[in-house]
Amino acid sequence: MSQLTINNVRIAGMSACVPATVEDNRTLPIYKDESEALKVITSTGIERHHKVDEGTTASDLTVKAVERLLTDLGWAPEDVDIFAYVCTSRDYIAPQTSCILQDRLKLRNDCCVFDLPFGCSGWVYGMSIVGSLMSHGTLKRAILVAAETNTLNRNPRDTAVRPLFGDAATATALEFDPDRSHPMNFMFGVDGSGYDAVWAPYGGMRRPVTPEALVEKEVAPGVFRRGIDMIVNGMDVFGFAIKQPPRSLKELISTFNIDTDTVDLLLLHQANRFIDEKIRKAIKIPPERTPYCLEEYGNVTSASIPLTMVSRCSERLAGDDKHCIACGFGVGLAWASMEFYAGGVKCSDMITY
Amino acid sequence: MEKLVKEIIARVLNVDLEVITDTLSSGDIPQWDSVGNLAVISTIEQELNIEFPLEVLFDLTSVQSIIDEVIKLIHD
Repeated sequence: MSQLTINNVRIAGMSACVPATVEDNRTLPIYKDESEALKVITSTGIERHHKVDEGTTASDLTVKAVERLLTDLGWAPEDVDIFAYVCTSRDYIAPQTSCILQDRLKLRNDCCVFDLPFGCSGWVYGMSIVGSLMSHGTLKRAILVAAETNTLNRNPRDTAVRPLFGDAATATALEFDPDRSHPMNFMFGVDGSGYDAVWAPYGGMRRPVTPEALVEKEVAPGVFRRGIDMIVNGMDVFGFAIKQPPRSLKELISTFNIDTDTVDLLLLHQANRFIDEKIRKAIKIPPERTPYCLEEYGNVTSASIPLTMVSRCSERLAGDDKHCIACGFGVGLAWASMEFYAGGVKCSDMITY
Repeated sequence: MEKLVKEIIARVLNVDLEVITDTLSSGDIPQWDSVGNLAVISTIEQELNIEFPLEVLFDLTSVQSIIDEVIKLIHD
């Protein structure tokens, strides 16, 4: 088991930006009638999602989220020592999007800036990486972005993905705090043999874009895809999601002697309410301590945990320290769990763009 | 119970009851894809007021396996 403990780092603030356009699953043109849509809503808990308009990227949403967070915290752009960008829907193949954002956000030229191309586990992995860099005490303020525009790389005529995924950008402000009494604890996991459970077959170096990869085919009744589209093999993901996340959380609880009665918030990757509820029950956390936002935003991959915190927990996080455990799981297949305390967190009001 | 489970599966997948044979499995018909499978399991839980344990969920991919697990849960 790979585990990590980070001291002297706190969450100072969080923000989230979603596109203004909303797609309601009940009225999607991919269904024959509303009963088909209701079946999906009933089994996933996802009623609608936000979708970027043509020409808008994850970095555009990110600029809005970060600018608002810096303003609300009273931080100047030059105060930021680390800027980490968790995202797979990058603006260009090269350069890394974080470099472009350094300029757009007016961050310092000596700011430590990097991309982290993680999927659904990305916010937890990002917290571990950024937190580790900060715990030494020389880099004192960081912005961790988790952002994705899932609707841009999934086929709108793929009934297996369109109702489930949405777009969002989130920003988490972290601060070095030598007086911090609570550490952050992490557990990690990966199973690369399942790489093709959630993947885009064409568009990378192994399978470059070809004319054939741009041709849309009906691979099953009502399921249209191109080679460059992101594919989700639902049964493989289901098998993974009911196995590894509960196991990872149980390892976290056991390794760090967590008393689950003291857990205030269980923050799960917002993939599917049915699966998340099974995970919640497996580790015996009451429903009132397990917030969801997937009904409104869908699965926004790496942004789903911080979006849940901003949209559903802002008042709770603003008060005294709350004991939190979180688990991100998906693309990779990769997963990561963490324990942390969060209090006095400034959550900005939700932003639409 | 077997008939009731089959009726629920047929209704959720929106197919005739005759289609739901003992040997039918997820993937055999287009309606029984991953989303359809989740809909079948969650509807059976709701309507029969049972809770499938996490460790058996992945095996609930055929009519017979679902019937067997429902009977086991109800008898327990």
